[in-house]
Amino acid sequence: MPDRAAATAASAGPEAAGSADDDVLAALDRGDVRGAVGLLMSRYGAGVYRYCRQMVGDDVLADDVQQQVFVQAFRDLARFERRSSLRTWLFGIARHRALDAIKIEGRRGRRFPLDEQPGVEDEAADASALEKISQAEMVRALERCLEELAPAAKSAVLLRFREEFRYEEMAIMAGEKPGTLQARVARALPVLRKCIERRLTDEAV
Amino acid sequence: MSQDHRGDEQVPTGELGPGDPDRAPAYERLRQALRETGAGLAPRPGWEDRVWAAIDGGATTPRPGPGRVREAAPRWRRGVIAAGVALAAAAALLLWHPWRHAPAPPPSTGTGGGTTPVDPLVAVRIEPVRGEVQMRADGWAVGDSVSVDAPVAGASVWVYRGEDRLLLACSARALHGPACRPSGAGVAALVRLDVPATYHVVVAIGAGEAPTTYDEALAALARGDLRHQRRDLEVY
Repeated sequence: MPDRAAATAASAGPEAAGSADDDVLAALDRGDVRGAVGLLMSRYGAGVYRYCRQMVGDDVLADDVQQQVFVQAFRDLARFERRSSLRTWLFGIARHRALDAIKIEGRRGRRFPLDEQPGVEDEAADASALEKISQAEMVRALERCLEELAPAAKSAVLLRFREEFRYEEMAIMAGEKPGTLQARVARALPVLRKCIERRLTDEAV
Repeated sequence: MSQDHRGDEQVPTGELGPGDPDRAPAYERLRQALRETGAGLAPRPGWEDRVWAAIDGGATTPRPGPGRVREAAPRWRRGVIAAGVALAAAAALLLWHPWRHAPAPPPSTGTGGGTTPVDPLVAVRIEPVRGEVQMRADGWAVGDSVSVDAPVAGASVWVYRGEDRLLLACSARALHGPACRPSGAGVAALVRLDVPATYHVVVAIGAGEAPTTYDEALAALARGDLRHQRRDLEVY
């Protein structure tokens, strides 16, 4: 997957990020913003869409947000200051646009109160359920449970584990401290685990 | 040298759960499953063409500028937005034109004999103050500051970084710190933009205590039907 390959390089640090997107930066240096955005679209378009779709939970809205991301990239790329990788910069735009879209569309939906999650370690659900199910079942359950996270928590979890950004990179995107994001993810994971266990228990009954 | 550092990143114990070693395999499975979510999600064919159409349709140019992206709204919404913008522009012109050449009247309370009511928010200014290293002529960069001047009675200025960080709250009755100062009947503030983020500037008339998050601020503005002006600053 070219998207994942680029992600690997772009997440690996400044040196590797440079090699992943040298062609984009070269196009920028030539003043070829259109060419640069074209490269970004072919390289990161699928990943940006996936992130947007997982964030907003709706195909049409995800199309719209993805389009906004690349239109904004076209508008702002000339002022990219190269302090992060282009992938980090692009996903930073995607994060902002997706959160804006959620706010505007009122698609927050039902969610767990992450800051006061009660009884995360209560064993009402089948704690061994995770060990019994197949990976495919686990992924399906997880996709449903992600919908129940607050948008900021969902974004942090997706960026960290699905898109494989480092906390330092996520901090650049979000304007928050790495530790804050790490704590947000740490609070979200038990919520996801509990949600999956609950769903599996409910289905088994 | 290209090297994937992600494998070297320390995974905090807390990230694996509440510290129960028995749970570690479950969290490892969870993380593995997270990597596989959304596997079937792909953009619709031709999405690149739609992006170029939005760009080429005159919606935007490479010249950077702050603020939200409005260009890529769905087509049906673009018509509504265009009509709304036209109406708003006409209304603003009607409001602005009568007093632009006249001596500046005091903000109307709506009870003045025959004077045109003037929106006090027209006096509000939200402007950049460039940092020491000026990277460009417009837009917002780390190191810039935003100057907010709201010389209006009852004005409050709130500045948020991201959705949940209240950086500054000023009002004429609560001038906290050197970033806030009186301005006319209201208040002025200066905030340095330290990190790349979306900053939200809110000037509200007649507001109470500053909400601690931007979401709550939006809710408070709507709940109180408060006169206000907002601006989002994308800082890179």
